[in-house]
Amino acid sequence: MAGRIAKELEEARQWCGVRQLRPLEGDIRRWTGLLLPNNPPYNAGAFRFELTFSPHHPLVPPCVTLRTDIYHPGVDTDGRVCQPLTSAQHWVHTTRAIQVLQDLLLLLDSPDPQRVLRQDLARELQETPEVFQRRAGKHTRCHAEPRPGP
Amino acid sequence: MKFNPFLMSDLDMSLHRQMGSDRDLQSSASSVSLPSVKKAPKKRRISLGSLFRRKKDTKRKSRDLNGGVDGIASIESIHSEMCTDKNSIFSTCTSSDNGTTSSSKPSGDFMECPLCLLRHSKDRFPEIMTCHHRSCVDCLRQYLRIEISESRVNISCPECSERFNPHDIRLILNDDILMEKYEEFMLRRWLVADPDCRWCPAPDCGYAVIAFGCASCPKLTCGREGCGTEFCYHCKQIWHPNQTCDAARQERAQSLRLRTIRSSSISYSQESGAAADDIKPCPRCAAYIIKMNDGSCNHMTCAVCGCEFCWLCMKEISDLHYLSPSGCTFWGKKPWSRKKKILWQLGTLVGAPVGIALIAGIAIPAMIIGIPVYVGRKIHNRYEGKDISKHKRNLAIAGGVTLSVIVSPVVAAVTVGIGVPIMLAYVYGVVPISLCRSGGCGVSAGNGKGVRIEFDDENDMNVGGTNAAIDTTSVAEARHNPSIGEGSVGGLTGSLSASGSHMDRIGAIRDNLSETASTMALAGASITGSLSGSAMVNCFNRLEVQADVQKERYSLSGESGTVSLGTVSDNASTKAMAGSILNSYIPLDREGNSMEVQVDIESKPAKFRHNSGSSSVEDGSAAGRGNAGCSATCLPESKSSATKWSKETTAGKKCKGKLRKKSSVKINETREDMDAQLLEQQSTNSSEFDSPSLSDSIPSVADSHSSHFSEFSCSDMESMKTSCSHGSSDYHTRFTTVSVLPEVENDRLENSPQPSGIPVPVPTAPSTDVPQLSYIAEESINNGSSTDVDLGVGETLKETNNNHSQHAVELSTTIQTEI
Repeated sequence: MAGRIAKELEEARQWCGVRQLRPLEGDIRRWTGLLLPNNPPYNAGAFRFELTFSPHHPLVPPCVTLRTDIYHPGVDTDGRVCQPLTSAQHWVHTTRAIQVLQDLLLLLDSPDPQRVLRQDLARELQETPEVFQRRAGKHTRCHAEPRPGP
Repeated sequence: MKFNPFLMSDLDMSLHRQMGSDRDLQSSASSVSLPSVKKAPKKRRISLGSLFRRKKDTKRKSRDLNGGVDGIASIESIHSEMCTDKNSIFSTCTSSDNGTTSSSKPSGDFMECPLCLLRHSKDRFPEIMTCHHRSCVDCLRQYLRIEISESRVNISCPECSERFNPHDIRLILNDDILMEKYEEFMLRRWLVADPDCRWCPAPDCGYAVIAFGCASCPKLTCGREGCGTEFCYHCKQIWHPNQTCDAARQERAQSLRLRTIRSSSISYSQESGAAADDIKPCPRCAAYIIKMNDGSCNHMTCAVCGCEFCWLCMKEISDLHYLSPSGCTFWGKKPWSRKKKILWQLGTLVGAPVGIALIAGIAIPAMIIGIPVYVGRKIHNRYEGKDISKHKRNLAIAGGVTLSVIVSPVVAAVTVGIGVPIMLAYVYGVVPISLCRSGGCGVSAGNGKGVRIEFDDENDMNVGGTNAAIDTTSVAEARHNPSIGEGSVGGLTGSLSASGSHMDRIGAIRDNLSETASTMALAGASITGSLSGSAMVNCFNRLEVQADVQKERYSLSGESGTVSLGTVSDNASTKAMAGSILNSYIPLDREGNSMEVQVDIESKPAKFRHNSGSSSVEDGSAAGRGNAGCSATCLPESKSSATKWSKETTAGKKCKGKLRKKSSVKINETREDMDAQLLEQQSTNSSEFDSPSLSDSIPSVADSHSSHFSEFSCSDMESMKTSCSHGSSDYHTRFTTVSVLPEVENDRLENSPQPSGIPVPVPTAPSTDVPQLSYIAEESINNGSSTDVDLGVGETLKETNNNHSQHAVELSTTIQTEI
């Protein structure tokens, strides 16, 4: 299904929420790129992600991870995210890569209480949002990649 | 298992074929798919009959086809012409340009395949019977290949959830080996769900025995010629003539320790990197499941039989299991220690009356005072704006207050009078039982004791409170450890599953059980009450007596069988479950020797089931299958109910214990028919033995099942002291009333020669890409089927190895863990 992946790559490149989308090490099944969140505190930086397709794409869901450290309740310290869209139960073959990335971006912009991987951050966000915002902003400034120009 | 759509469309197609044999096959291919679905029900009956009539003619054709499954022979033959035509279409397609854009194809329309996002000509999109989605044949083929290699037999359309018709799969796949694999998996999954299926423990023997009703005479003999291994129905190990299953197991373990450790399964699992306690058998089908014990969700669903259970306590559960102090949490790594559990339960027990008293003590005065005050204020506010004399207003207020003063105590009393007994009954009925269960016995005895307890729960609840309010309240309270949970609340189905789950519960149940039991009691109406009351009371007593855990379990299951039968209405699944429960029962021989009767699978069970024993079958509620509906706890198998249909192997031999392969379609169809009868039969049996006493009714119940089989090859007849005590005459008569449907299969079995039959496992190149799933296969279906298959289970893997003979039924159980 490499043909399909190539098509999806083209489609995803057209999207404005992602930059520098390219295959990793020449492997069409491993994409890397920069996600550009829109909402504070993450809109100050860009976050590198990695999207890995299985050889049986689209029958088997791809897997997306964040390679940049992020202070976000839905992303654990290894960069994994809770994404029902790409879970084995919910995956459908008609889901496209761009939708996966869009879902990830949406999660970054609006943390979902159902998709929490770090309880402490989630609690902080809920109880003391301003503290959370401050810390997240600081973390973003420290760790996120610089945002590429338009 | 939703085989109906297949069945309908399949039969409909066959009907079409018969009627329009002169029609152009190609056009018929497209024309049948739509209309058939609409007119399904009527045609089905006709086609069944016509199928039978035609079966003789089509037998030859079916043999000529792939060495396929006997059960689908008739349909297969009918489709043969269509198949060959379709095949020719596909072959031309695939041989031609495999092109991406295919713009050179002259055949007109192009469609974009939703899987590969490429455009193909329309003839590369195979017709699927079950839905309107179209994908290109290459994508479909790859999809099917992956699914089958991963032993997933409920293959549905990639875009919707409609299951593929096996014929479609055959046509699209165009690969005999994979198709046989698919059928093999289907059969195996079916068997796994059969509570009576027992795999021969001899190495390299893939045969299984459907031991219907063999609980009383547990010695089974493998039907494969050249094997003839005798093994025990209950523990599924080599026959141990003068020992209990436990003793035999211990002895075996000792001898195992003497051998090299390297061959143990534990070392295998450790070699593969998984700790020994990451591999656990499914509580229902005993398929091994591996899960990383990293604290991830403990709500498991077995990929083979679909039963949901808790990873920590390995019991079948519902969602409510985690909400109550049962010791297991959604995300925990370890179940609570006994201490913690007991502490929690004791706390509940002790705290409940305090809490209740507190609530009552506060609620009553609050209501008595609060209501008048509230009424007064309301009236005051109402009259605030109006221009009425003060006197009148005060009068109104006084009147209102007086009225409410009179009414409020009544209301308060009623509330308390209803609520408090409910809560008390719940707390003191359910919690002590679960306490007693967990406190009194070890974990190993959990099975038996658990079952017993549940039964007791049911007992208590039924005997104690038959207040509908109790159910709803107790359910609402969610202070239980429901093993069955939701379903049961729903109604009969629930009740059935409750009773079923009683049996199956390897100990967890508890409150929910009682609730469901009570629900069941209530819903199931009076029948339940009387029958179950007596049965349960007896059972309760009996349970106390049981010393041997296993026996308890068995007896319990037997008891519950009868009880559940009574309590259940015409819920097919529950009935079947009850039946299976009954089957699993063994006569309580205090020494623990269980008598087993080997059953000839093919015909007898079918016939037996088909016997429409009117009897005490309740109202016919075709409730959906309860989740729990399972066979006795002692049998880890069974999805219970309908799947108890006997399968027929393609081998035409009529040996006992030989498994017959059957098309899933056929199985479904017969299953549908069989269910009701099976249940009726079961209930007949149960109703006969109204006053269960261990030595009497249960053996007889079990007996009735076992003796229904003609090839009653119980070599230890003399050893069946108690079980065969009842005259077998009536059994035989009942046996003879077996009806047609099974005979169909029997005939086919007898007449058809030994076909190439059951797929010979060929080590095909496995799809080793097993993403995100960890597999442990108990036995590898194909040695090459997957390298993952050999992970982990080592010795147990070898226990039942592939039988590469023609008639082998492979035992592979590949499981995926699902959260």
